[in-house]
Amino acid sequence: MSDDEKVDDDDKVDGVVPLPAEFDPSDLGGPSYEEPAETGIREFLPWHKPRKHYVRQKQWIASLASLLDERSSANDAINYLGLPGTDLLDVRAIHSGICLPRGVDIRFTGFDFDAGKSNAQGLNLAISLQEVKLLKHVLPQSDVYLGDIRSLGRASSVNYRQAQSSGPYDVVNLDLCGFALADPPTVEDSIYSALRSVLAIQDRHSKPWLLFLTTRVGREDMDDESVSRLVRRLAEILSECDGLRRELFEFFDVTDMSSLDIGALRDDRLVACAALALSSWIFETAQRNMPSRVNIKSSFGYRVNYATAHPDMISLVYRFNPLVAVPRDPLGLSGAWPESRVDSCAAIGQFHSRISNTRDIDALLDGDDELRGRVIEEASLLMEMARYDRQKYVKWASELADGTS
Amino acid sequence: MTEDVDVALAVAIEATDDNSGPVRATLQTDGRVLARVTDGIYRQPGSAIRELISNAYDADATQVFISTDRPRFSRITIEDDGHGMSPRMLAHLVHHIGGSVKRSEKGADLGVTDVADSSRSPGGRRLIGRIGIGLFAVSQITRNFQIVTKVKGDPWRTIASVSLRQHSDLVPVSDSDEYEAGHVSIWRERAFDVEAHGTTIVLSDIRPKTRNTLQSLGDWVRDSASREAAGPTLFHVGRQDPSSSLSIDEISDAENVPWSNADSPDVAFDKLVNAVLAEAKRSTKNPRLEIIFDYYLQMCWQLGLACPLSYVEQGPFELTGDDAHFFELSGPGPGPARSVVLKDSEAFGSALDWDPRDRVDGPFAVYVDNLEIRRPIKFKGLVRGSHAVQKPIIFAGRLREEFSGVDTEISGGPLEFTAYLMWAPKIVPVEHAGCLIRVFGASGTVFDPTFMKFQVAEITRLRQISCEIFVHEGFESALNIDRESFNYAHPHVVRLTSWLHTALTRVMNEQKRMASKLRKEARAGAALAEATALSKIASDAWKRRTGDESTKPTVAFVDEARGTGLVSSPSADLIFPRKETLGGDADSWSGHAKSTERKIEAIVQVLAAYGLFESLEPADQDAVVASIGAILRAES
Repeated sequence: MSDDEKVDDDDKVDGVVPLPAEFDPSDLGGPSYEEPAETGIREFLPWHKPRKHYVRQKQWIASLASLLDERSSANDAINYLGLPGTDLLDVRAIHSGICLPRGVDIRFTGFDFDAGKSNAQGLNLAISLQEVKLLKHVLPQSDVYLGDIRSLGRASSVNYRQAQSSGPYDVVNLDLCGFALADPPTVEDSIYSALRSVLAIQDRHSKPWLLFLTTRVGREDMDDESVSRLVRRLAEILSECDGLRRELFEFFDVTDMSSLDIGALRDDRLVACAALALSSWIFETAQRNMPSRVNIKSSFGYRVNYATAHPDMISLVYRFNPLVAVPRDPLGLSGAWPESRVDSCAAIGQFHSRISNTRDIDALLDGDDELRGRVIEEASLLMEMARYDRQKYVKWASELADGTS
Repeated sequence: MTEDVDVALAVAIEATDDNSGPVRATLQTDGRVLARVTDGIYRQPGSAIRELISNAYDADATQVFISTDRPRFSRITIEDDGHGMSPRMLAHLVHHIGGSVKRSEKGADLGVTDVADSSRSPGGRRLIGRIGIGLFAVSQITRNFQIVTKVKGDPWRTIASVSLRQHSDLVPVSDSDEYEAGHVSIWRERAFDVEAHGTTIVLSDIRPKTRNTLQSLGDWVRDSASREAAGPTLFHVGRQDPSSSLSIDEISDAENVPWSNADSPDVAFDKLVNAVLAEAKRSTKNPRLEIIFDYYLQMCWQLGLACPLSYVEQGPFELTGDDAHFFELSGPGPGPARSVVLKDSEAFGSALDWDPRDRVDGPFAVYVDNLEIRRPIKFKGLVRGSHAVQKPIIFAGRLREEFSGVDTEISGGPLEFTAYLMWAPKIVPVEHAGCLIRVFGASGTVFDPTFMKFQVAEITRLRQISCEIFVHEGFESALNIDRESFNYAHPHVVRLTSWLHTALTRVMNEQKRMASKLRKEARAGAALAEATALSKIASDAWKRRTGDESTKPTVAFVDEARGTGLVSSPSADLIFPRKETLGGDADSWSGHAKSTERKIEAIVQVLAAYGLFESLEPADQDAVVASIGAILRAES
């Protein structure tokens, strides 16, 4: 309805029902009688590369395995929120790597732009969903909804309601394949808003949980204003952390964090600085209503822009250990309660330690043919489950040039 | 029908003359008629979903999951773990959409029915759906849908992508059987999970009109003209901002549902059902579903009634002694029903000497989003009201009609069903008053409040009766193609109707008898309690005054006037004329007058304890007691 057609409340007469809209051709469900959608030929895409499989195995499945090892209720189903793509490779990998050997069920909730659409990708997702939901340990309530991670940022969005109604989650996998840091500040439907929404949903979680965050952190992938704000805030927090501050001055080769010019940093230091500032923001945002100890369990890097000497894509695993949130007593009438505040300096120190030792998995796979061969072999089995030709995959993956695998 | 056959018949007709007999031919329909009949026969999107669930049931699925993407309804998926469809089955379906191979020899050939019995699924379930009709029903919801199906042991998955055409008389159609209902692409994809089986149907590009229905948009619009801020119904699933698109998925009104996100699907559905009962208990007005629930929630409720699912709690034949009064409608005709007395913890069903067969061929579970749908009919914890009969009265009945002496072509073969009729002070919700006919566990209709046009002026009592009839043999051919109505001329409908009307008469008579008996018993009980209480008051007074309650004087009322010498109660210490004391006509001897007499007796005994009557002449005694009587009568 256009603005002109809207009924002004002040003019409304009781009992008069607004006129319904006139006929709209879209009511017919599309103007033309077309050929039905087909899946067509599927190409191999960047997230099919062996290095991504290495991330799935060594970061995601490994960290999930340790999370489950420490759980008292080992048989509780894993509740997973992610952006699984139309091949659902992540869910398949977790099913094979975790659910089957441990006998643990998984329920996943995902978002995809093509979910339910009558196009090639929508069809591909429908087939993948049937395959995955008929797997032994996948709970049938699992679903992939039309949408994307950014719309989670609005509490009034359908996607937020959907994510909230099946949360909180044991694993939130924000595999962005894009630029978390590219969004300008205060924009709706940004990755920052989405992260905040995720933290709001996770607020109800009483057990440790994992956040997988994969994002590009190249120089050209950043919004200057957002990143400057992140770094300024990091500097403010660090003003309380004597030892760590000195360590970081040395690392970034500056005398004062507030004077740090990110544009002037070396590529590898820029990545580290952006990742640290973003991690610090996640940590601080989380503390606001859900005090948690936060650790980075693992940090992997690889190249999207092959010309760069250092990884410009970073894949981080955060582990959140929720603490009891103690309400503030304004009059001090209640007795003492164990301190649940988390030491920011220690947390950021731990982040820095992990991020500064980010494993360059391009270099790792390029330098170890045996490892690379093994990863390709494992990835080919996963690809076969998703209806790709295994032999063609092995050939494609083996022929990828060094630094692009 | 091919042109050759038409020509041959015409030639044969033209060749007839005065001496030849008539040309005999079989009547046939053509594809275009079928398309016309089936296209758009379903009035509601819920009907299409019901048909797809029926197909899953017929494929021996144990679970069906329906995901609606509520409140946006951008797509609906229906997933089952049934046998799946072979390429041959899918090919046949494509060429005969609107038809059904079930209940035919072809069905067994294509693997969709039992080899020995084409009316059963391969797993032995009685078939409830019509496969081609189910897919035609989808046109109500969308023009584009996909089928992903997998048969156990097949190393391939079969995919069909369909684009339906709108039926139109403007599009030239050949006279052949083939009517083009749409385009389809079918292909196979290698399956890693060889042993897996099931079918997924994805309804894409939901028609805007259907989305409006699913979102109850009409109710929201109406609401905006009357009440502000509140939802259109007591409970609803919220709605997407009508001005937003699928990509900007803004919710303008948050859902208000009777369950919470943390509830398991079965608990969530329990809460949905209990919300209706709670509303009935909260309000004096019996609630209607359409006032309590939006379209989506009503649809879930209707699916619970329609699909072959178990009751939300116990079924009527699982009830035990304290739950209800039980009767059996044994024998033909309008005689009284037989009371069934249950032993400790004995279930109603097991006390009958026949099997009520109300169970479904399980296991079969249907989930719509986070609700596990079950039959939303409860028999315990119902609303009691102020009726003499507080507990429900449940009648069990059955019929097997062979139609002896009538050709099968006329009778449609034997008919067999079992049934229960429940009388309760209040049937909740209102829509459950009536009769619901299930054929092999499934139903496409709502409760018929007219009880198949029962012509009796007992409107109030009919609103207190809910009935389910479980058809075990026959009746299927009496269902119209949408399965939402019957052919009232069909012999099975005629026979079932006559049984139902007799049963209703017996139920109503039994309820009246029971209510009358209970009312009498209640009155007698109350009188006894009152007499005991009054006697105690008088005895206490006498004891306080004299120290010996056994000397309390006896009081009698006689019909004769004093001095006639015909005192009929000479043993009483104090005797009063009844007519003067109690007034009115002595023949109008009501329970109320008896109560007044008991009160006067107690008052006289109390006064006597203080020696009041000793100083009075008999005429004055009569006057005092007559005045007391008048006061008590005036009070009442």
